[in-house]
Amino acid sequence: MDLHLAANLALATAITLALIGIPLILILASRLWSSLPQNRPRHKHSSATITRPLTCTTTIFLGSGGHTAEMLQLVSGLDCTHYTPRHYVVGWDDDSSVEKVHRLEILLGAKSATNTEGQGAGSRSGTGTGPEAGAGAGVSADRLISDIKSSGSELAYTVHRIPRSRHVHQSMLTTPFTLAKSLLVAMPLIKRLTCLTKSEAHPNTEVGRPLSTDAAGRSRRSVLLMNGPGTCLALALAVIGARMAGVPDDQTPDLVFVESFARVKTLSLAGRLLYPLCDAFLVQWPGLVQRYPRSKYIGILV
Amino acid sequence: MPGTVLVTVGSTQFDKLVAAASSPSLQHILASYGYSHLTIQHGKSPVSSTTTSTTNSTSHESGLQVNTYTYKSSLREDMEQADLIISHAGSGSILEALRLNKKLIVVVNEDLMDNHQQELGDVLHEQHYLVCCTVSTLEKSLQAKEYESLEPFPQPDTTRFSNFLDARMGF
Repeated sequence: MDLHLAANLALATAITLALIGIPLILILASRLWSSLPQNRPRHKHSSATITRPLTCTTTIFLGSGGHTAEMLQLVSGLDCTHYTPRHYVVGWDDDSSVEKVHRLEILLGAKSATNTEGQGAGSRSGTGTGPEAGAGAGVSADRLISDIKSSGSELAYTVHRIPRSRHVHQSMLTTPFTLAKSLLVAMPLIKRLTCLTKSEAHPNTEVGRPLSTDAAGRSRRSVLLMNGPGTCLALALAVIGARMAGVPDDQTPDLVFVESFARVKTLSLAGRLLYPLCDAFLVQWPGLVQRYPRSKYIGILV
Repeated sequence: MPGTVLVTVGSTQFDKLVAAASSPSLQHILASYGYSHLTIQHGKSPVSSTTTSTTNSTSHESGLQVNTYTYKSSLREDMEQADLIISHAGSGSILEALRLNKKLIVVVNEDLMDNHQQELGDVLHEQHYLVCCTVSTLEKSLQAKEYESLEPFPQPDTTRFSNFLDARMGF
């Protein structure tokens, strides 16, 4: 009789778990499905009612060695008065990449200092106003300067370290655990560094109401640049997780992946993993576009 | 007037390339083309004792001055001084050499499991930016002298990426 009771209990538990579990899994799956960029309407920057952004919070993952070299080459071409502040995320023990960041930022700072020469705006953190003021027709200079001052209290760039998702030659069996560890670090980091508040993304406006003036309409953007290897998966997953939790697209960073110059016919492991997750996926050889139609080829980038 | 040849394996281990570079037959070919110096950056791969007996030795047979070392934090200076670079097929070394507009022969390591190096070497060879070969065909590639008539690799165009991102982010 006890056995009978136990069997009934087990059956009841199984049914209850199934009743809760299966819908839960289905909800999560559909949530994930609709959070993937290819299944979302792209309303982010396509709307004509949205005016030019003021700055773009730029988070850059550096994967050491050749990955770091290629990524810093990409970053070196950006207008650092637009792409500010810059947050660099490196592997836990990757001192060499940190050193290269400092070297690049000295160059960028020098570049931005020459850009702002004679503009008289304070740019001690490398956030110059030259091109910005020149480009912003009708924007009151007062507002611009106050914006830069408020962001001037923080550094133009910061460096953060996260545990690697997978070490060289690490077994595939233990990889989920190390990935989980870097995900735990990545989630608060992504929230703190890359996610925007509603008022940053839509200053002085309510959703659905047309933007009033140019100055008021200037919003903030956020982008996350990645080029592998695997550790950047944790960052991308953290962003996808935020979207699954309901954070609107324009408050999460745009996920941009750039496949390495070394990849001619096949994607890297990181590339294959991030291909379905990223909002933009650049490759450096035209043959890859045929195999991966969501990818984009605009020439060699490094 | 050709002068220095640099053989580099980067941070990889590529015993066969180092062995080939140390071989008298290859050094003879280089000497017969008028090269006077050979620098071998051999990383973790061993160099044969005849080559290393002194770090700066004139190879008795070919008359080539041979210089070997394991690694430097930056190979740039040695690349700049070289007239011909014979390199492993890592993308970093390839890019660095191409940017300096050097005559470049890239040797694919066939012992590596991942063969995407071969793909990169092949496609750049097709476009005549470099010569791609394997250790076994290195001497033949040298003799074919194709490396003497390569196309200059375009300079980096950082505006491609910045224009793309600017358009995307709305600047």
